[in-house]
Amino acid sequence: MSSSTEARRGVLRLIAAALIVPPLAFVLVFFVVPLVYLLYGSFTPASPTSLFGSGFALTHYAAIVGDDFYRFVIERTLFVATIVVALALLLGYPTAMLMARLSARGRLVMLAVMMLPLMVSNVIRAYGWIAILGRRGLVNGTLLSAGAIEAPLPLLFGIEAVALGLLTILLPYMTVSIANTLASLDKVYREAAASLGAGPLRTFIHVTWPLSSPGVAAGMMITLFLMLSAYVTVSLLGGPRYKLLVSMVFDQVVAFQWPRAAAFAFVLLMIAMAGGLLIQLVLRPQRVGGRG
Amino acid sequence: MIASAEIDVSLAGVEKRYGHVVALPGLDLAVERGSFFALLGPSGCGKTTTLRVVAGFETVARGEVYIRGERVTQRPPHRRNFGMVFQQLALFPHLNVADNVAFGLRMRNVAGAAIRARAREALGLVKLAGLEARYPRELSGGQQQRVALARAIVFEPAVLLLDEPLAALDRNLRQEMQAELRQLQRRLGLTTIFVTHDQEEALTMADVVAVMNEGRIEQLGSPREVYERPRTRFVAGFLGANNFLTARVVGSIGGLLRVEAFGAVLRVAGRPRKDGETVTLALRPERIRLAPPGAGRFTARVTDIVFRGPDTHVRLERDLADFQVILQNSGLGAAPVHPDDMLDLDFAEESLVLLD
Repeated sequence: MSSSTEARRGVLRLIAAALIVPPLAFVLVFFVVPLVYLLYGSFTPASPTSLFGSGFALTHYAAIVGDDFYRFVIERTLFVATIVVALALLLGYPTAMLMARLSARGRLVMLAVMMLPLMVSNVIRAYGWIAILGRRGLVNGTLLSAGAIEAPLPLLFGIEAVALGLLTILLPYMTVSIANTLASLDKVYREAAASLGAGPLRTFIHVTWPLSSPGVAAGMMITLFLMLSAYVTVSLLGGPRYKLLVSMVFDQVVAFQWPRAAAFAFVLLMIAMAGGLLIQLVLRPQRVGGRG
Repeated sequence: MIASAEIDVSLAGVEKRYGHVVALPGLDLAVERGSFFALLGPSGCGKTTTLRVVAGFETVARGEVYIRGERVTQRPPHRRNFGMVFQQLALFPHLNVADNVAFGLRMRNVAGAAIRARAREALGLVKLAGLEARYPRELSGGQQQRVALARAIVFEPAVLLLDEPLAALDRNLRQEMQAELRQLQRRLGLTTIFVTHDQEEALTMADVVAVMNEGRIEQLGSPREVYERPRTRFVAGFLGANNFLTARVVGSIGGLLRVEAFGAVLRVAGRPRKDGETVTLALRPERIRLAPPGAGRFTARVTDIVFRGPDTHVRLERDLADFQVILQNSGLGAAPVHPDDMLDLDFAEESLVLLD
């Protein structure tokens, strides 16, 4: 290699590095710094006069671990997260397979149709579900007037309503993420599997599923993270008694318990990171990199 | 047509359409056991479609497909018992070399210990022993090629299908792989159908070459036959640069036709024609010698000379007809050639091929 091309590469690398600086600085100032500040705050005692008190306190984390109610909320959060992500995958994958088989144009149309509901605000959508599932809602009203039931069914304020509400928001993310991977997957892999004697089911298990793992992992992580931070849907459809971890953060904030809110926020962050790590470890999407 | 015992793959009246486009208008084909059968033709001639019909990746509108005498026309690919090397290779990126090779055995529910032994044996055949734990992305192009081959032959399929598997390799590696593939095929006696657009590859590797054009087989024969005795202008043109002579039939003598071109009367073998009919003759560039005026068949003017190392390509012109001549640079003191020289083309009459 001549020294002039070597020099040009060096310049290009320098330009590339320079281009990364602004976004990097942005993330540093507006994300990393506040996050570190929040982490610091979660280890301070509560103060009636300022955001965080002075001194060091493990009391918030101790309370979260020691309190039965808090622990129950954490367990419930994990439970709902598992259910929602699993359902999104179960419903999203077949839809994605269908979508991947369409033409590029057809895929775009289907994408637009799926994204349409997302253009409505979460608040309005949640009230929509209340109008459908409430005591005097569409479902109960119809069933009552048809004489199928004698008293309204308690459809709202439970895991069913919360999961349903979250799924309608999250399903498009899961589906699109998987569909993109499936659509870019060359059909020659399926043909190769068939040439080696694998029927449709074994081709799916041994080839299509593992090769789609990058899309599945991405979809599951997006779904998990959005689900863990969804507040409006959870509080409106779950009601005042059905609390998840986000609700705890909110409750502490409105009570001006900033350090405890910070501690809850960090527990939530840890759960999200652990969940993301678990998804990566199980699906190992990186093994698909560099197709042969 | 019922396939006999020696025929491993046969197609009978296979018709394939894509919408209104007829890809295969009714193809008959028989591949003998142990032979290396090349489907040769330009892109769009139907050679890949033919291979995919054998594999079952394409359904047929009409006709039957047989593998080892069994009718498999309606059978899905995974129940047809063939091995295939794809143009894109399609090694599974999430599986290492050993698991890629073992895939076909696993799908056939072979026992675990036997799988390992046979996979190792297949990797030995393609000279990749010791690379079992590598992933496809960690291999060179040639090594990936070998893995794809090992994966396709490890379960001893009835037929091996090769879809331009060497197209992605550079020239040297391709020639090396051609030789190895041929050796391996002979050693294992594996019936092989090979799709290629590269005439040299088809001629060097195959026992039987089928030259395809517009979904039909234009000519079928040994490499030497199709090269030296092309039946149609398409075959003659596709198998290397050929010179075409337009000639007029002027009579016949002793079973040979007498034809006239550029004032020279030539005798060629072929079915009888009427006097005065115009015919086309093919003549290989390497079969022509250049001679001083009056010493050869007819005279032409030199228009271009290209030195190529082992040989020199000389282009000549006569009455708007172009001729290409390849002279070996054997150092045997041939007279130097210059542009605008008037020279005679000289060749043996047996070198002329009368085309349909």
